[in-house]
Amino acid sequence: VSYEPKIIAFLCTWCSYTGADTAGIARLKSPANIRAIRVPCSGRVSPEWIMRAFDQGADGVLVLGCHIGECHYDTGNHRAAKRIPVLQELLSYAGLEPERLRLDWVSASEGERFSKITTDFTETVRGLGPLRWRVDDVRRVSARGLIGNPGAVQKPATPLYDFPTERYQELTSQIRQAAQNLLQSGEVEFVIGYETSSRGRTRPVFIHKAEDVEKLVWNQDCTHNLSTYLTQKWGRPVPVAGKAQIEQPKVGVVVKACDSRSVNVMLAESRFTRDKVHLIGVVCDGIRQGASFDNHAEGPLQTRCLTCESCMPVLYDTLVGEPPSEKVTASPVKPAYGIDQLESMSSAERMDYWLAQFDRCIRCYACRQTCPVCACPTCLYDRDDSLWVGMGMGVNEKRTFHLGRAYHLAGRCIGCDECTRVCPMEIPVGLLSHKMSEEIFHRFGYRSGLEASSPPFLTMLQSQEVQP
Amino acid sequence: MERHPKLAPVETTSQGIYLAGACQSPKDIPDSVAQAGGAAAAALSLLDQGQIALDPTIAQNIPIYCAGCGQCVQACPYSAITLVDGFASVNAYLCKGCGTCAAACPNKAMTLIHFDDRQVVNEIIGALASQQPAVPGILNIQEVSV
Repeated sequence: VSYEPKIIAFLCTWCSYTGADTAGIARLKSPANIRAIRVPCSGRVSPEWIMRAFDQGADGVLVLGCHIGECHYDTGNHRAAKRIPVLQELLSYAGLEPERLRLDWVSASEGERFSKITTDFTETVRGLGPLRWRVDDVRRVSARGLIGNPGAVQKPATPLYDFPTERYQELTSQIRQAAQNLLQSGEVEFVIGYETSSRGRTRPVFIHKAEDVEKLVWNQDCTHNLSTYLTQKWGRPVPVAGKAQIEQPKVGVVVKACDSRSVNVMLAESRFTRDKVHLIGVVCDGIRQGASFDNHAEGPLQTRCLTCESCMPVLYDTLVGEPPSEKVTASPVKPAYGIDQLESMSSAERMDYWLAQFDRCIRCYACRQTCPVCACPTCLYDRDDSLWVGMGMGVNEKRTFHLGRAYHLAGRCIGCDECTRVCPMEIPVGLLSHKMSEEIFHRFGYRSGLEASSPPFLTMLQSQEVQP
Repeated sequence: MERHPKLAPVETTSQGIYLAGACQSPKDIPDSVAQAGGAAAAALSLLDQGQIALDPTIAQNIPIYCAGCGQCVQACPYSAITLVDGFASVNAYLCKGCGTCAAACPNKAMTLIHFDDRQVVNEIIGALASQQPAVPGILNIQEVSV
């Protein structure tokens, strides 16, 4: 039996679905491989549907909408034109051939164009052969010899860095002073900072009383992004009709440069208002890689610090430390988190690489819990109805979770890389988000978290984008 | 811009807002007056009914999943969504049912009635099922392609 690809086509009801009808009325041939799903607008096509279709065994997904400028709903197709290429880039990075997902425009009168696009797309997918995306048997991954493989991507070699330990005493006392002022004046309910545990590790601490500020420290191991507690600590009010929202307490937080950007993302997404936080911004000297008990001045810098562009917080109420007179770059090395290495691989190699990585995932969700911008009340991938992802431990489910999360973070992730750090299975989760950030920067010149006023990027349309 | 150059020349894409005169394009006084008459008649036909029949296909928010991030507010072409007490709220009169908000929602708290995620995902699953139902008269794909 010759190979017949299965193709899901999302057709916008106003243009492409009618275009398919026009093709039929004109007796033009379209391949029987196309399984049409009618949607009101190409803007309705959720990226999660496309991922679901590939998970479910589709060999290709075609999204057809009205031509740009002709959308029945004004700008629905502009959103599709923004979202779908970003998703395509993500799936391609995870090892799917990018040709298997296509976004195109067919108007109601273009029966011939519909016939041509569907035929052309079917032939393209047929040429690529059956998709190996869905792994039906988990053992197939191990048969490929991939389980336990630490992965082909080498961590960038990080030179030893001499941390300015002599400055930490000064910074620590400044943080303590700031926290004491805040707590004594009663301006904040509590302060979130770092302390040294009894075993000598640096960990987050919540200081409620002014006499406890002596616990606060600052050193090269203050890696945690404390802004994540701003949402999780406060939680979400339970919706009760006609009842006002629960009053949020004001909180003081110690933030590094990268953490302050995630505060900006939260502000843009109205998680809280600016007057509910007092940010103690720290001029950061770089953070050491790997949890450590010793206090050596030398150590490798974290990869995020190697590509860090500014040690100054973008947002703060109290600044701790001296603002640099010139731009301080920790290291000239730009390792780009191994993105380049993965991009030089073939699609099949990339898919194998990621399957081996995701196969190790134990679905502990540490990456999601530590993420400052992952703040949905019940995660889409944590629901009991298995609509988006099953509850099993198969590699398909785990990949769906990670790719879905990476897509949701596109244009929102600020690259603090905490997800990679907390992963007990050492999966480079952050690599996906970094790739998305890079992609959005290259396409649109946008970096998340630099301004509190910028709305969620993937749904935002700038005025020049709606011009036909 | 008008909703349709021939079929709805005085209506905008927002229901209840009509166009007349130079706000649309340069035109002379007789044209403006004629169009204003048309707009008034269109408005009257809406008012005269006494009640408005809404499209059943509109967006709906499920507050327990809503994170209040405001992506849907940004996505809506009709400004039909606002954040009320930290949750998205759809104005049923303004919503046209394009579903862009539902696609944008990262937690799928926003759904589009009659095109909701469960329906479409089941459609995808059904369309990709390897076993074609044995219905007389319906050919499966292998039979078609021989």
